[in-house]
Amino acid sequence: MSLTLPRTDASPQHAGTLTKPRAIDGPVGGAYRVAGEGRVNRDRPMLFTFDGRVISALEGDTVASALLASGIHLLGRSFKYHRPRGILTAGSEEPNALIGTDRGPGRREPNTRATVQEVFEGLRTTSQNRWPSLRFDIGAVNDLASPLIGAGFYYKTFMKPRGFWDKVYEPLIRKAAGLGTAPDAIDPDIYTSRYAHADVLVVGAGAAGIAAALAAGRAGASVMLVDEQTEIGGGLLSDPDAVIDGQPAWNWLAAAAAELDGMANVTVLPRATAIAYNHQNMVAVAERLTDHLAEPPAGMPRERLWRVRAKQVVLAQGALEKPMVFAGNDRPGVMLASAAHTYLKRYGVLVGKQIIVASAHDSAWATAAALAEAGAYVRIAEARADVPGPVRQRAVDAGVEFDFSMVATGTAGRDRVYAAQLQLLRDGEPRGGDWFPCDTVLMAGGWTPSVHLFSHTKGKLRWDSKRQAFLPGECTEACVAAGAGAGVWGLDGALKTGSEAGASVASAAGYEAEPAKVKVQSNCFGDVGSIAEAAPGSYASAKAFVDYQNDVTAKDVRQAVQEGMRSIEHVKRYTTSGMATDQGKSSNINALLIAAEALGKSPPEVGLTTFRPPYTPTTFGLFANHHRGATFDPERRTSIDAWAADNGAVFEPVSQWRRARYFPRSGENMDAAVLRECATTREACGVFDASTLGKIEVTGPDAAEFLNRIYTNPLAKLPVGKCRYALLLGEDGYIRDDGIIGRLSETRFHVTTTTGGAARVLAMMEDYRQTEFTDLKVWLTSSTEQWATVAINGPKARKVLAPLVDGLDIAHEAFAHMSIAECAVAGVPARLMRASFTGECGFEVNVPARHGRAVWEAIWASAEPHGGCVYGTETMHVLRAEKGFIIVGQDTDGTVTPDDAGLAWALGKKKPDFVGKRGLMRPDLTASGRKQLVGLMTEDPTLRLPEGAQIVRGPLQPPPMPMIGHVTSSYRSAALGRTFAMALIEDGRSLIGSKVELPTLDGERQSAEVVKPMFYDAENARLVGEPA
Amino acid sequence: MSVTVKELAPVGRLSVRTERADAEGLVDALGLELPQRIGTRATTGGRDALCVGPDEWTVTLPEVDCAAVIAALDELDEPACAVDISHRETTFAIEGPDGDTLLSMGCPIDVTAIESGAGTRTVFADVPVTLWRDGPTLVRMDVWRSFAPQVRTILEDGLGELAAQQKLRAA
Repeated sequence: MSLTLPRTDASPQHAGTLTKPRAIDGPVGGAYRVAGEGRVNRDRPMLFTFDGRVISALEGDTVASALLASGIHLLGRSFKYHRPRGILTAGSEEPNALIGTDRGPGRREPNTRATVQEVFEGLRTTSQNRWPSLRFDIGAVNDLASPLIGAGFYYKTFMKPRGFWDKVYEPLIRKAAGLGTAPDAIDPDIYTSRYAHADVLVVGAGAAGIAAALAAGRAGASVMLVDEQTEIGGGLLSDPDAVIDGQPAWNWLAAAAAELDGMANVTVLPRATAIAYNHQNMVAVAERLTDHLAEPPAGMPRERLWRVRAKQVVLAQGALEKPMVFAGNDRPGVMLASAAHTYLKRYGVLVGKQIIVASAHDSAWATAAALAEAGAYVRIAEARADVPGPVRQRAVDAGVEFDFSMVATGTAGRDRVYAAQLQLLRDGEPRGGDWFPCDTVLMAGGWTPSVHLFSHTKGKLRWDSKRQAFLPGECTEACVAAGAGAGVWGLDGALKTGSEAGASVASAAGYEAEPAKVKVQSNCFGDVGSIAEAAPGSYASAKAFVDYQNDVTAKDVRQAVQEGMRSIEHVKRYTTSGMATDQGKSSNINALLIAAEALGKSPPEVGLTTFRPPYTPTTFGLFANHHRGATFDPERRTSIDAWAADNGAVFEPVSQWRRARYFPRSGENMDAAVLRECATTREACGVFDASTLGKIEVTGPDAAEFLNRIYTNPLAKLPVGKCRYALLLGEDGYIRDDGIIGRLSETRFHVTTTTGGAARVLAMMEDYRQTEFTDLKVWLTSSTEQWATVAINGPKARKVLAPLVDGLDIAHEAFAHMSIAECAVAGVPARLMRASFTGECGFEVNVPARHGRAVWEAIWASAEPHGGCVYGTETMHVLRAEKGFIIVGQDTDGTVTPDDAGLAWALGKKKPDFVGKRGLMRPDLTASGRKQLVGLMTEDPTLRLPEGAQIVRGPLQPPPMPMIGHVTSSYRSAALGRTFAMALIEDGRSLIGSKVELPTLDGERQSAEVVKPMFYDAENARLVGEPA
Repeated sequence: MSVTVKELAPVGRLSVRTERADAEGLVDALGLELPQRIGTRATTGGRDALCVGPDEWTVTLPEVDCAAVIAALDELDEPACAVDISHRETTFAIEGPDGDTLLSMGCPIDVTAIESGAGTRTVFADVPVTLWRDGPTLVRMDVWRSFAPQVRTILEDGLGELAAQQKLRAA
């Protein structure tokens, strides 16, 4: 057998190309495989590496089961104390066995749960949080120092001295924080998503989920059955000895799987974790598509996010076994009893040969019997005084030794447990006690129903004191819980409640459904039992772990209570219990029970922390999905964009649009190009792509009245063929948008908005139309993308345009400034506006978008001989600023009124109402001291102020000095031959003619004179332009 | 892989608004009767109307006819109007048995619930679109022109995913 691993520089752990396995422990598949047990495929052996060591595995193994099969229990070091850690569970709740995986270049992942990752040929895995090696780890010194770094350590220690924070504490904490190494390359994988709709979504494909899916599917409902594991079956996969309807459990399971497969109305998704239960039965499901494949086909996404909208949901997520809290309960070789059961029955792996079972639940007795039957020596320390006869009998038959009223109170060992201390309970106190040699200690502290998804719905949980568990209570969504997740222990109960749940939700979705009657013999799941701490409170100084992943001990929880924490939410934050990536799946209930005991309260009085999505750790890739790279967000381009690209434009993003910023000629930088474009436009003419401006067609008999109410300006009497600049406010009286409104007919208006405001303005108008102005017959249609818009500005604009226009005289007198008309331009039907955002004679040619580039080229061909230029957004900004025209969002910030901006003239003072009219009457909007838009001229005419620079009264005062405003726009002007700026300054208009100061970052200052915000052609003489 | 994506030739397209779909003269002006229930369509002689809102229809027709219909609606007694949106949008035809699966990669609604001869306004990958189902395995998707490249890329990524999935199934 050979193993070829591609060379990688990702980690020194990786042995480049291995042609000969260096060492394989024992026989193929591992020395701890038990003949005749498990669902792994003995005919398909495979090899993978762990810290460079070659490990033999079988198809169907997880990394955890394969390592255990090779007798490897030490998998990593813990987060805080660097204690040796092994495998605690056999499922996705695993807090300990976190490894690094490497599936090739760019595909390195930290903190993969070894209990979830399936083995494939050539998989490379590494242990984490250890240096220089897993067995000899320098960080383990933390374990010795643990009395110093208990709960609240960070809060207490890093407070003083204050100056230490930046240089010492923070870098130290950052270095110590986190497990594993973050990937350093861009994730090359694809992540995808689908929406799905189903009558019934069943979460969890154990016995209860399968029974539910069968009942609903047989009734004809469309069903989705999702399960996080590699195949459906849940607990049944670990319980081949049960007999269902006279068949061995796995035969029943195979038949059920085949029946589900055969139903066209049923979809079964394995490797699919329901990670979030959102409003209105929208459940997010993360499906893993390729993580188990050695060679995924090219183009295959790694993961798929399903967004399932289900009419009804069945939650059948089962229950998780609880660890017991006692000293040394974290040593490698200490694991959950149910995990040992699963490793034996599902994976054919015996986790140890000399096993102590610390039990508080009947389920552990069946596990003990099964382990003994597989050849292990097994001894049970049962915390309860007795167990029912049938539970005991099978263990007795298998040769298991046991004691009642006995608890495990300590373990010995370093990288693997070698002994456990067992003590008798007398009056609840552990007494005496001997050390028993062992290689494995199993914990069976009882079971916690998985109510995480139910919790996401904000459904109420109820405390079941008998089961010592929170169970789903009142629902807020259309969902039903079944099986162990609803606190129903045992296979017969799971099948019964599952089938009933499936039938009831199918009925609720409108189908005739009957629950199936299923007979179960041999039930390895017995009565209830639960224990948190083996011996409450008596191990104050010991390492009795509650939260394995965050290294929180029972002592920490008790200390938190002692230091005044009363709510579990406070205990959680103080100790970090339950705050690791496993969200405390194995620790929350134990932490709660210990805190409740310490507080002398009942658990529901102390409360349960909130479960939040996602249920299990989920990749960023899945959440980002197609929102990355080229499809991160739509990049909108105008129909003229390609011409701009062909002609050397430099682009900038403006909201979602890509816009040409300037068109540099050879050797020009931005400043030079913009100065040239500005000068050329004012001297001859400039052509500009204004297609991104928002456009809304407002139609209907009441269109004029509607606009009159929406905009501040008087628009009711705007004559047909005329345009008007208009200002849009919010109800608060602040400027939201502006644009030009042109009246095409009595019932039709062409309204323009800012580029970024198009969608927002349409939504706002639609809101008023549908809810406030319902008396008006008016309709709104977005026409932004219908029209390509070419703006031509400059004294020669008319000369350029006139030869191209048919059906309209555009002479100054015939087609006055602020006119609109329909005509043909370059043979294409057009809406022509005479308007100017530059102060020059200006036209805006709107043509249907597909003709945009042709018309642009025709206009450019006409402009070029006149010495014209094309210009971009930067020149547009400068030219408008020279005229003092504002840009909403640049010279306004959502707190600027029309008067602040010097636009009080745009308010229709005689209008009875418009949006924002009442807002403008607010006392704070009419008071003095508001910031007003003014111009600034620096003393030094070559100095361009930075936009955003703060302004103080001159001359410079000692700090702290009140800041009275800031620069909003600042440019170099070709027309002025100097720099200029616009600024918002308190009572700015009263300061015109005086000096202000602008402190700069380097401690210097600039001085500037406040001027009117009108820098060029105050008489507007240039609007006329040259005759054609 | 059994689905194709093709961009169709431009067509005339109007947004028609009125409060009374049965207003006098409307049928003559439009050349068809407007369907009254949202999501339903009426098709006559090269014209196709989809009801997308309580007072809103999208009508496709030969592009040369647009101006005449706009003018005719302006003349009616009952207020009605049409706005030319022919150039605002482009259309993708998604054809094949896997078409609905491809659409489910971006459409939150249940696209399988759109019957043949019906349609709806919805979103695909956060982009507003209109879907017209012309047959069990043929859906037209109208997209604003500047959003079309994004939609096309995501559809093409989806085609790649379906192809890879088929390869995986075959292996």
